[in-house]
Amino acid sequence: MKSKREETPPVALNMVPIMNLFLAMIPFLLMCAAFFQVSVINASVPALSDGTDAAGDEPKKELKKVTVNLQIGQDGFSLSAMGDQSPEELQKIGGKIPKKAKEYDFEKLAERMKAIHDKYNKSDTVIILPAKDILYDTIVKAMDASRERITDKRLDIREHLFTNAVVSSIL
Amino acid sequence: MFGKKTKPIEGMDLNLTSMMDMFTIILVFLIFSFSNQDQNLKLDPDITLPESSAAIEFKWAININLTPTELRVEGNTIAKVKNGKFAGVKVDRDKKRVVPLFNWLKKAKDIEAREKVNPTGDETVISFQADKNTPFEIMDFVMKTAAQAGYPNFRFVVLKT
Repeated sequence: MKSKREETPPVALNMVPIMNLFLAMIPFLLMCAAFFQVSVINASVPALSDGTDAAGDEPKKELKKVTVNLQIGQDGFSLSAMGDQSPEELQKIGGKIPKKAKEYDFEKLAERMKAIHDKYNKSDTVIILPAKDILYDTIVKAMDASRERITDKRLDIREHLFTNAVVSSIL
Repeated sequence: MFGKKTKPIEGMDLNLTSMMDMFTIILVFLIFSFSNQDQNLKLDPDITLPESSAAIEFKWAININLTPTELRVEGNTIAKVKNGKFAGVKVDRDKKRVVPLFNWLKKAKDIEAREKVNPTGDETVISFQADKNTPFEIMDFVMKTAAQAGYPNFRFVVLKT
């Protein structure tokens, strides 16, 4: 037996208010959209100390900490270290990383900085000493290599190395 | 003479479904790329920033832009740059100081000491934008000048990779 219920005609939704809302939202979002992400790198310039902090008692020796000097020259990177360790031990930390195929070897620099940080894990300061004609881009890439190591790019997991960068010129 | 009269068109319903689909996709994309960054940062169109893996967000700071042709502080041109050197401006080479920049920053420091200028309340830093092909020599002048005026801390603005 056929049902005698009347079939209701399909209801046409009124889309106009939603369309209006979308049209208002799109220009606003378009204005606030960032098509490239900007980030910052913290850096500082060496400051003069009046030496009052060290006055009086003997400072404690910190053998797990070194300050790395990273010179950037036309031929590559040159590393040296300062700290409370013996001069022989500090000399071992230093070394040169020459250019590879006329390009700076940032991978090797990152490896070297990681090795230094693994051994002296309380270290956080790197003094970057570029030569006069070194480009800003090279300095930023050297800072990246010494600051952190991205262990997982997808999850953005980073291992912090020398987070405190001081930029100065070679005297 | 020419036969039939055309019938008047009856009220036609536009099919908005496909347009709605398109708008929804655009809206989702724009919401994802919505920036909540501090609007104090204005990128200089004359500068090609270097790329970096840094992930620190921008915060309030004094903007210094070093383009291949000009040195600007908060949008005001302080000095002209020609062939990677400052031109037509007093530069103290012994003290490593760009005199007009030093005076500008010194004035800013004095104002800062009197009034609460920095909305974050932290120590004011310099947000430094420079072209990726800028040689260090000229950058060093700007950085040393700022440090002498009382701003030794910088934030290098870079493009996130």
